[in-house]
Amino acid sequence: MTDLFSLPLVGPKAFAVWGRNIRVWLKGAVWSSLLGELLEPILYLVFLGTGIGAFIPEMEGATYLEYVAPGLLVMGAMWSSSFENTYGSFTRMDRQKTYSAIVVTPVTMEEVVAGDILWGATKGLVAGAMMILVSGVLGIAKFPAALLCLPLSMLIGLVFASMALTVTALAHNYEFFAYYFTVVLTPMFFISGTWFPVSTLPGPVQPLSEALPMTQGVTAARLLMAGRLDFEILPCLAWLLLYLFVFFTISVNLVRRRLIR
Amino acid sequence: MPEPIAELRGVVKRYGLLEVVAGLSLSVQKTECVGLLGPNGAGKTTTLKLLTGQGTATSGEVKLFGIPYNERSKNTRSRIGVVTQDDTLDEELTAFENLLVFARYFGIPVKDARQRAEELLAFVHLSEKHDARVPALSGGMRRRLLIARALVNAPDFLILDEPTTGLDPQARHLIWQKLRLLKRQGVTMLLTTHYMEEAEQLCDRLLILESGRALAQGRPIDLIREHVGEEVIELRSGALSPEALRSQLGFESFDTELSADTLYVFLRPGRPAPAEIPRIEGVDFLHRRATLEDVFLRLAGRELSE
Repeated sequence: MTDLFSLPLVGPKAFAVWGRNIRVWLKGAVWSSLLGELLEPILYLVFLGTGIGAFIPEMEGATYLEYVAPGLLVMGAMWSSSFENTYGSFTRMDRQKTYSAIVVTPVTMEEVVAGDILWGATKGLVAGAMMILVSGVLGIAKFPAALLCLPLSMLIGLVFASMALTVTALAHNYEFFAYYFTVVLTPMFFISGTWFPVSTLPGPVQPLSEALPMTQGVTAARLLMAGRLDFEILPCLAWLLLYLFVFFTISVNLVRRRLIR
Repeated sequence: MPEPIAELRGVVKRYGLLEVVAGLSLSVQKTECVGLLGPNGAGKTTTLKLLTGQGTATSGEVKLFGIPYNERSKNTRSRIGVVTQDDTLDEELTAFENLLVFARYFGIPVKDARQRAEELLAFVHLSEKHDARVPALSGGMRRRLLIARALVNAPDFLILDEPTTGLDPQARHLIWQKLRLLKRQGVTMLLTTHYMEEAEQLCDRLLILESGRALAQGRPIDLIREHVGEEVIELRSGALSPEALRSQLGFESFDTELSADTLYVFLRPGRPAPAEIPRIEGVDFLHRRATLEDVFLRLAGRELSE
């Protein structure tokens, strides 16, 4: 149990691992993946925001489109990094044995895991950037504060990448991830204040919702997209950093336990 | 004696109750090529993993370049090259890019890495496949690329886990040729194999492993002399069991061995002389030189030990 929380020491070689993943991405899936990241926010904003929004004059003082956009940004970062560090990481770790190939070099397992998480978070950043771009075009993001949604997307990406890699370290096949997506992420997505305020949730569910990283991310993104640089954002960031620290530590130790035997 | 490049002393590796390496000691001297020979499950790969950062010994001492070694020994790992048994090439990338990406893990600057990658592709005869992606390469080419990748940091010590398993004879000979060339350049090597020919071709010294123990070790030629002598006669009959054949010939006192269908007679100096062996109707008779395979099968048993 104790080795599950040994503090990971990460050196700069993590960026070599990150660079490897970017190179592979640029050789293959880059265009299809960018298209998906761009199209998704457009579809959500246009069809859900304007369609459902037509029936909802305002929510918490904003148009419905303005209300859902920050949640969709967080959702995009969450899905992208979660997919990358489950299906993608499992392929690299288990099927292609890329992790094992790298640890025979001066790169440590901590750095391999950190590099892979950094890469998943980068995809979260790409998704967040697309959302900011589309929101900007639609005039529902207030610049320059909204630009801070970019580092926020990276942070959210890091959190969900670490959580995903923790699941991956325990997985024995791809089917295992279906549980994580259906039982953990999807419900989280619905109660995180993306579609309606957390205060309208049933009483006991509210504190649970507040404790979720996605809810904290949505709150932070909503402040920034509304152009508000406010101290209110600090607890959200602290909460996200805590999640990152805990899950990064656990994921490193689980992967080490799995691969270095 | 100078400090060995690699040294294991009384190393034990357990997975739960299963003891895979059971008190193994071995050392590899500079410029030497040492082979670990043994059936599947003998502990060969596990032993190598203790030297590549992919495993830690349950007990005992593991040293590389005279320094105690574990999975965190980054500096030590910058001096070794590893050819894994699994094909771990980056499938999406070209041959050249595979080498470049690996060079980054060693912190080799991009310009040097590009030059080194070109040289290594030429060394393993893959210059023409410079821009070919990995799936377009044959099995032999992939293995050569894996070897080139293991050389990207110009290692002093090369660890190879079954470098030619599954390759056709031409591909295998080309790899042997390259490994001999490296050896002449002063690279120290430790490899596992279950090809006796590979062991004879490449290794100065062999350890025959079974159940995580060294059954014997020495130069290939000494192992053959010591355990089976110079020559062997194989007798095989459809009608008689090897045991019946042995008693009919009155060979019980000689150095013989029985398998399911064959009687092996090891010709120790003078006894028996080949001429003493009567040719019996219906018994196949083969007189040949003793090989490492005889040593191996003798020590590790002729029956399937998987």
